[in-house]
Amino acid sequence: MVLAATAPLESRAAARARDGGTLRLAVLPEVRADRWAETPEGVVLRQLVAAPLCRIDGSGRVQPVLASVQRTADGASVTPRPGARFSSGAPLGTAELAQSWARAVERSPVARAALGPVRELAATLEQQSRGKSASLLLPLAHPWPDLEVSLCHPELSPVLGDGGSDGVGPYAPDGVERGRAVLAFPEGRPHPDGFLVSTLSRRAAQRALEARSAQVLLGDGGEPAAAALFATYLVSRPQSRPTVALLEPRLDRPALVRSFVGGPAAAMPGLLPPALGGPERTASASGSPARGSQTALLLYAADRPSQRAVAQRLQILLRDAGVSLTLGARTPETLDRDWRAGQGDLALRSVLLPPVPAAALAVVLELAGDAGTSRRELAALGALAEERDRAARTRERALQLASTLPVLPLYVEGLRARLDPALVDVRRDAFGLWTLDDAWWP
Amino acid sequence: MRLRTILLSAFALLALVPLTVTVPLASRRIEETFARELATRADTAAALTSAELDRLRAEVDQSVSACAADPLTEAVALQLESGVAPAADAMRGVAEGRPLTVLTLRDASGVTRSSAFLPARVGDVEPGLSAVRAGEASAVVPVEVQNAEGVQLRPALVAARPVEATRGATILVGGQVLDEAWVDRLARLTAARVELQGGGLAPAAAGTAEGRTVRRVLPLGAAELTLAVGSAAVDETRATLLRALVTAGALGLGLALAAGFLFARGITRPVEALTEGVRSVAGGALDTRVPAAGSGEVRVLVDAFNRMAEDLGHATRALRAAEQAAAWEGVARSLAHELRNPLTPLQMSLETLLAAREARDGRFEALFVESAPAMLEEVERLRRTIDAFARFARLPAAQLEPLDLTAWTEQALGLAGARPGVALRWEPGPPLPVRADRDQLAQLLHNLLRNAEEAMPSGGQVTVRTRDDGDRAVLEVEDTGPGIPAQARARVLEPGVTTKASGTGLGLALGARIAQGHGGTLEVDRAARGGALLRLRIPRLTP
Repeated sequence: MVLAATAPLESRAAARARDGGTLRLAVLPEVRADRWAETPEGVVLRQLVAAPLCRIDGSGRVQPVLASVQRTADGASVTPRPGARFSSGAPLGTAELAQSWARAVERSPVARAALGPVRELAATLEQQSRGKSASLLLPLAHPWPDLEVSLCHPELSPVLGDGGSDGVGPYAPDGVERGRAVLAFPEGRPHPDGFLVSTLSRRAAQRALEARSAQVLLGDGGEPAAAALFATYLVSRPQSRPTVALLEPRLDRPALVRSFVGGPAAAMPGLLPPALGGPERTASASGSPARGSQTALLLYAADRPSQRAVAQRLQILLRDAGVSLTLGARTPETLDRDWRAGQGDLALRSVLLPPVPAAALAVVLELAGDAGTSRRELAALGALAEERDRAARTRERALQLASTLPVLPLYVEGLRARLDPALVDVRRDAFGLWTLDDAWWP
Repeated sequence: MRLRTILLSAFALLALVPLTVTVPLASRRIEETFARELATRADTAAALTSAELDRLRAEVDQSVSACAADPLTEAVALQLESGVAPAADAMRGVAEGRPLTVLTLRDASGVTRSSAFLPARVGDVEPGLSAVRAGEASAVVPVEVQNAEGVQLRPALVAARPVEATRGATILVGGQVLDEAWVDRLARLTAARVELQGGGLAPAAAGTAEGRTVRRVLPLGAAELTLAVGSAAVDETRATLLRALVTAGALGLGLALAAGFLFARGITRPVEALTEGVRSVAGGALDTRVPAAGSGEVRVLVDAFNRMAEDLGHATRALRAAEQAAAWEGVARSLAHELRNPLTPLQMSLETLLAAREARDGRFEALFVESAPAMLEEVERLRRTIDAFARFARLPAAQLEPLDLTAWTEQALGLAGARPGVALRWEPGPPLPVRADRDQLAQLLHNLLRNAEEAMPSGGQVTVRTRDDGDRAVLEVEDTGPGIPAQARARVLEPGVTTKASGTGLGLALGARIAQGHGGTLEVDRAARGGALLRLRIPRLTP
């Protein structure tokens, strides 16, 4: 639908944008529940009030939004843009940025992976969260050419405090459902005066879009998943590898996507999604799987319907294999914490991968939880200065590591969203997500 | 055994006999009744369960038929027919508001294409549900039930209906899982313990059945339903009834005993008074009279007893008076005889001396010296005679104490000794416990021995023996003298009667009185070798 609307959008884009009005969004309950914006829909919604440091456009170029990144002799320095302020009015400085990243690292594997090459990360962030320098210095443990791309990930959007809503965005929250345009936003004020979010059921949201009482629907619809980067993996403990081996031959990823995930999703047989050059077909499993434990606990994010359905399907498949699988429902915030604390034998982990292979593999290695392998692999990849070589080597290593890492790729999802065809200047970034900052309608 | 005890026992027996017959019979009837009640309850529970299953079948059939005709079902089926996979849980909207916990849409090959309650099975053939044929009657099959803890096999009552919009290419299978909630509801409906189980199925049970149980098993295809009715409730009622029965029996027995006691006392009281009166009269209390009580024969008997006791008193007093008179006559005669014998020599000696004195005979001195000692001897004889009578008259009441007659006799003989020329032979019998006055018994034995020795002036043998004679202890003294003539034996124990030339005739009489004081007798008999045999019989103490 968006493709169909692209031509008229482009032709209208040349026209003079009209300011004013309220951008109306209808979101499904599961999108509203994505408090930390880990899903594509949650990111789109959150970027209205918390923009990323930078954006990667469709051609792969990094566009600074809130900060600029310069390479230094031993790493990089991040300099917030002057005038950038949180919605609460506090200016965005290096200390606030360091504090925000320190919190992100605590809860997000993507943030840990993005900042993983930084030497003595925790100490560095701790030190700079107390300083008042103009630039945040990030010394790197090894060369990492994809640092700039990684820093553009929405998980690293600067946020003040633990609430997650006090960011630096084109809009400032005005209550729970509303936002008002920020005139001093570094990239300029958005065209609408504000936005209004309505949480609706799927059916009601569809009707609202059809009736044009909503201009954006988040949580339903979407385009084919070619550019999908929201990947879901089944991670396991070392002792649960036999259980995964029992599951793998029974796993029909296309059927899994078709029946239990739905939407703009695709099977992901390799560690990297097809959008990043990962394989599109599953290699046939070889050898007879060893007998594992007869019971296992699978952690999953209960607020995500697709994860819940897939978890139940895995429970059925493992039952047929003679394994009794208990499902441990967690909130997205507690899932990472509990898994790192040693709970569960298996876990469904969904992450929005960076749009470059090496950075994406860094996230996968972080999910695997093997710091040594991660450091070794990333150092080797970072040594390849040429992007093309690095991408090719990354895909090669991803294929080789697939059989050794305790990470079983399952599927990848794209953005579930629909737009009112009348909306103008809605762009898709390298993550496959829409940017609504410049949206307007005649 | 006393009459009252006998009567009381008879009454108790009369009361117990019906109790021992009726209580077991009643108890058995109660047991049978409650066993029938338990079986009836089990049958009722089975009937209720069958009715519940029929109701459930009708509900499932109706609901599944309605779902098959639901527009949403048809839309999903048509989508499936057109090659587009419906959402795994697309049937959830169809199931909403309907009493179904199983609802699955399967294609012609039996593969589940959408499921309201187990969407995770989409794409698979569910063995349990695929066995249900469209249009056939509902059946109980195993189905998978999924929750966070895992997947379990549960029995479910399901029916299959073709979706007409696809001309039967898709089949809708729906029903209700017979889960713990259903089993619990059934347990409450039937008031029984309900157990639902089957091969590979997760068992479900609810309700309680305590005590003895009666079971009914209902086969439900893939599962088996067991109903167990416990006897705890009826056991309590049965125990209450049995307690009441036993209490009534015990109360009846108590009342019968009380009535029997009162009745027996009314009968036995005059008889007991009469018995006591007889005992008193036999003991010598001839003035005893039984109070007039009772009626009929008992009253006549009491009156007759009182008259008899009165007559016996008169006769006894008369006899005693006659005996006393006869005794006094004997004593007087004996006393006169004993006093007369020394008086004659005394008189003759004194007359001789007086004559010599008056005649101034020169032999007076010689006569005086010769006569004086003889006269003193006669006077001494008179004094001894008077002492013997005095002792006879003053014999005190016996002071009885327990002793062994055999041992005591042996000890007494050791002290007694025998006159020269007389041999004393001791033949001890077994130990003979008696109650006796040692002094009086010693006087008696002394008298018997002296009597025997005096009967053998030229010597002989005295044999003393003791022996047991049933309730009597016997002491015998036998001599080898001439014996006592048969005609004299009857009176030899009377005071003053003797067969010897010299003697007061009081020795054996005193012995007879001592024997009487001990509740016994002194008998005179003839020894086997012709001598006299005196036999003392006194009551023997029972051990």
